[in-house]
Parts: sequence; C-alpha cells; structure tokens
Amino acid sequence: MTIYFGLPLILMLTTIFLSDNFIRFSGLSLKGKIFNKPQASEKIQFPVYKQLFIFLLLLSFFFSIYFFGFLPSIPLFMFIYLRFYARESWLTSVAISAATVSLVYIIFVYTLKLRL
Amino acid sequence: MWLPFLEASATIFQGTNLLFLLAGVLVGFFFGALPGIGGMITLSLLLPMTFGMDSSIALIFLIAAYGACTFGGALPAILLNVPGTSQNITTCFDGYPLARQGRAGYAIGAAMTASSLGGAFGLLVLGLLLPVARQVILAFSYPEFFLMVIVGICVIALVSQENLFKGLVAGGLGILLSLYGYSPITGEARFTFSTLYLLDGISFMPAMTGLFAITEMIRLSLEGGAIAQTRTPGALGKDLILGVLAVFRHFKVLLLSSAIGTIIGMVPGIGGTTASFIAYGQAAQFSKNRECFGKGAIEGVIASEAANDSKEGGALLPTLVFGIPGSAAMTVLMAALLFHNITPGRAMLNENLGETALLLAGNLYGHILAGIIAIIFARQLALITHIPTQFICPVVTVFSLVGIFAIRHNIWDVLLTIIFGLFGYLMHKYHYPRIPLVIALILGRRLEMTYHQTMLRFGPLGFVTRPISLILLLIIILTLLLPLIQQKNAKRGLGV
Repeated sequence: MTIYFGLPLILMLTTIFLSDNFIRFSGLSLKGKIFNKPQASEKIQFPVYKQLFIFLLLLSFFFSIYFFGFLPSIPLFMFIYLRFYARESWLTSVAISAATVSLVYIIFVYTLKLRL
Repeated sequence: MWLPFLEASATIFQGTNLLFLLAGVLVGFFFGALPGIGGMITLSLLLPMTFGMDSSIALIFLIAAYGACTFGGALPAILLNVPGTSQNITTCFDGYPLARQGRAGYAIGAAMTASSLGGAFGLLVLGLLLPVARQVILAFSYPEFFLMVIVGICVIALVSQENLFKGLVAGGLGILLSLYGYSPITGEARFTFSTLYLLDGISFMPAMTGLFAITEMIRLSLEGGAIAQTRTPGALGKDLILGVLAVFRHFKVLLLSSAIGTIIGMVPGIGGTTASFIAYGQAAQFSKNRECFGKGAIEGVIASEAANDSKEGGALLPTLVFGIPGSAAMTVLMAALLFHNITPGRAMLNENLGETALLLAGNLYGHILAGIIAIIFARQLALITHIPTQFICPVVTVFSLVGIFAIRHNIWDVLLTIIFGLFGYLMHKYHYPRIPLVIALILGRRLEMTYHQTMLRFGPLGFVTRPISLILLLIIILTLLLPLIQQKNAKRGLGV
C-alpha cells in the first residue's frame, strides 16, 4: 500500500532530474525559449564535501531537536556551524551561540510561553 | 459612513488612544517580522491583554497590531528571503533579488508605500461597497476561482527563468504535492505513506520556509560573502525615495492588485496568501517587462504588498456585516468584538456604526504609521544585507525552524522544512524555478475544490459560459501560446 502511494513521489523526483538531463543531452535545448539550457556561467559549482556537511548538519540538527529539544540543540548546531564550517574563533562561536539561544529563550519561551 | 469615520479619527487622535495605536503597530511589526508568527497568532496573544481595556482602546490596539503584521513580515522577506507571514511569500520573489543587487532600500520603500496605499484602498472600497457587497461577492464563483489559479500558475511558469517546460514541471509537482491528505470529495487518504502526519496534507508554511529560507541559507553558506552582492554606500536614502516613487510610477499595478486583494478578501476562507499570489500572477501577466519577474521586478513587490494589505478591508466586510470571519485571524478579531460586547452582523451598520468606523480608521492610521516607521528605519534595516552570511545563516535557520515549530507545535513540521530546504537547493542547482511549485502547492487544494464545485454546480460548461471565466480561459490559452508565437516571430525576424 505504502509503495503504491509512494510511487508518484518517486516518479516525480526521477522525472525532475531526468528531465534536466533530457533537456541537456537531447538537443531540445536548441529550440530556444521553451527548452532553453542554462548558461555555463549560471552553473553552480560548490565542493561536494561542503554541500554534504551542510545537508548532514541540518538533518542532525533535526534529530538533536527530536531527542533533546530545541534549547540544547540550538547552541550545539550554532557552535558546530560557526567553529567547524565558518572557521570562526572559539570565542566568537561560543558568544554567538549563547546570544542566539538566549534570544530564542526570551522571545519564544519567556514571552510567547512556548515549550521548546 | 463619512461622519462616523471622522468621529472615529478624532477618537484615535486623542492622547492615550494614539499611544495604543503606536504600541499596536510596534507589537504587530515585531511579531510580523518573526517567521511563523502571523496575524492570527499575534491577535491571539494580544487578546488577553485587552480584557481590562476600554472597548475602543482595545479595538484600536488589536486592529493596529493586526494591520502592522504584514508590514513587519515584508522586511525579512526582502532582506533575508524569509517571509514573516505566509502572505509575504510573494514579496520574497522579487524583493530578495533586489536586496541581492544591493537595492534593499528600493524594495522596502516600494513595499511599505504599496502596503499603506493598498490598505487604504481596501478600506476605501470596503466603505463604498458596504451597501452593495452581496452582488460583488456573488459575481465570483467556483469557475472563476479555478481559472484564476490556473492563470497564476501558467503565468509564473512562463516568466520564471524563461523556461516554460521547467516551470510547468515545477508547477505540476506543486499540484501533486498539494493533493496529499484527505480527498475533499471522497474523504480518501492519498499519498500518506500510512502516516498520520500527512493526513492533513502538506502544510504550506514548512514547505515554503524550506524552499525559500532554508534553501537560501544553504546557498549563502556555500557562497560566502554577504547577501548584497554589490555595495552601494550612501545610496540607500535615495533608493528609498525611488522605491516610494516606483509605486506611483506603477500605479496601475497597485490599483489592480489592491482590487484583487479586496475582492478575494471578501470571500470567506480564501485569505491573504491566495490574494497575494493571484495579484502577483496578474502583475506578471500584464507587465511589459515580465521577464524580470522573479529576478527583481519592483512591480512584483508592489503587487504582493498591495494585495496582502488591501485584502484586510475586504476580509473585514463578511466579518462585520455577515458575522462570517473572512480568515483565521478574523475569527480571533470576532472573538475580541464579542468579548467587548459588540456583536458582528447587521447591527454593525446601524447601532454599532461607531465601532465599525473605529475599526476602519484604526486599520487605516495603523497602516500609515507602520509605513512611516518602516521607511524611517529602512536605512538601518537594509544594513543587514551587508553582514557576512556566516553569521546570518545559522541564526536565520534557527529562528525559521523555531518559528515553524511555534505554529502547530509539531516536530515533523521542522523535518518537513529541512527536507523542502534540501529539495529547494537541488531545484536551484538544476535550474528549476521554485516559485511555480510554491504557488501550485498553496493553490492546489483550492484548485481541486473549485474544480469539483464547478462540475457539481455548473457542469463542464461553467468554465466557458460565464463571462469572467471565459475571459480567464482565453488568458490561459494566450499565456501558453505566447512563447511559441514569440519564437515564431523571432525566427521570421531573423529570416530563418
């Protein structure tokens, strides 16, 4: 049953990526405006490890929120991002992480009475 | 109507009332700028505070805060690509590209002026339409709404990144995603993967925040630098004035979008998000430089902001006159009215005319005040776009995710936001426009509902036999044929 319902999703994801390559390699791109191909200068090239780092960091941020809640996860996420991705100093990383979590606490927990 | 309005204006300009108007505007501004906290949550939060207040002060405070929400929401939409409220999604489409070009002041100036004038237009139309409201609401029925949604998707697919094929793929994907959850006719659960979470369908705030805010933060993290790619020191003040003037230069866009916003606002249950999307689509359709839409067209910002503010005048109409709230936020406003012993309904036009005028005047002056405050601080706000992105990205990501969680207190909304963020990044990487997807996702449910309603009420002929729907149908055909005609003309011009 799940596979039956999931099929359209799998199909559309496959379509979206195949169609891109289809346009690129089929020559349809020559037909001008409707099937135009991105310019070489527009192509986005970032190191794969950087993209993977961000993807995994975001997903692990979610799992951390799921298991420990927002308040411990926010400084952890901020610190890892600032110290290991953005290469900021220890002091800056700790200070910005602490400031962000304090602001979140003041606005959402103290003022809006949300349980994070 | 004018005498009570003048009396209400005099009441508002009394010392304490004016202070509460200012307080309401500031609070609304602040909550509007926080992602996920829209007009409804703001009103719900403020309602208990008004319990001890005099009813006129309470009304002024609440309506000013509600009106300022969409103003506040436009600022992060322009500066960070993070819409503060769902009604500001369309402001991101062109406001953010302008900020990237170092023209945040221009976008803010135009957005704030369009909001103020749009809001005033909505209220003016409301004042004029109160006696003939019924006929106007009934002129737009299911086939018209169905076709207006299709027009919106087609136009955006056409103008986004100049690639109709990819635009339509994204739009189709959006419609498919909007079909998740219960079928409105048979009640059957669709594409739920046997989970309870998907039974309600894909909630659009997480989807949209993921596709715009999170995607943008991923991209900015990878790119480095600052949001504004060009630094134009000292030009902000001038840009701001140019932005204000741009609204008057594109006055037709303002009028059309405000009219769309007001009409859609009047129909209960449709809301400002749909209004701003349809207005944006119409602006793109009638614009001379439609290829600029999605890349920093000021008309896009004007259309979006004018529609989302003018719809308030429209939404007040069914709330006040029929006692049917036009949107979720209006439900809270109605609760506030009832609490202060004001019963919405026919009495609002007779015995309680003073309160009706007070609500209209409070909303109008709130809009004007919010516009002035935003323009005064725009210079400082625009500086955000020059802060290095390594500081902005994690902070905005955190606030976006907490904001999304705050809406329904559902942890899976956070996961959905992240998934859409990653998916949006892939779409961006492979040059698929995200705008048609979001539009189709948000309007898809309405598309399905109105299709079934049309078929049941009018049959297939309903799409062609009603004058407004026939015109819309012709617009759709023209939109889809336009690239082919242009291509043919270009070839002929080249002698091919």
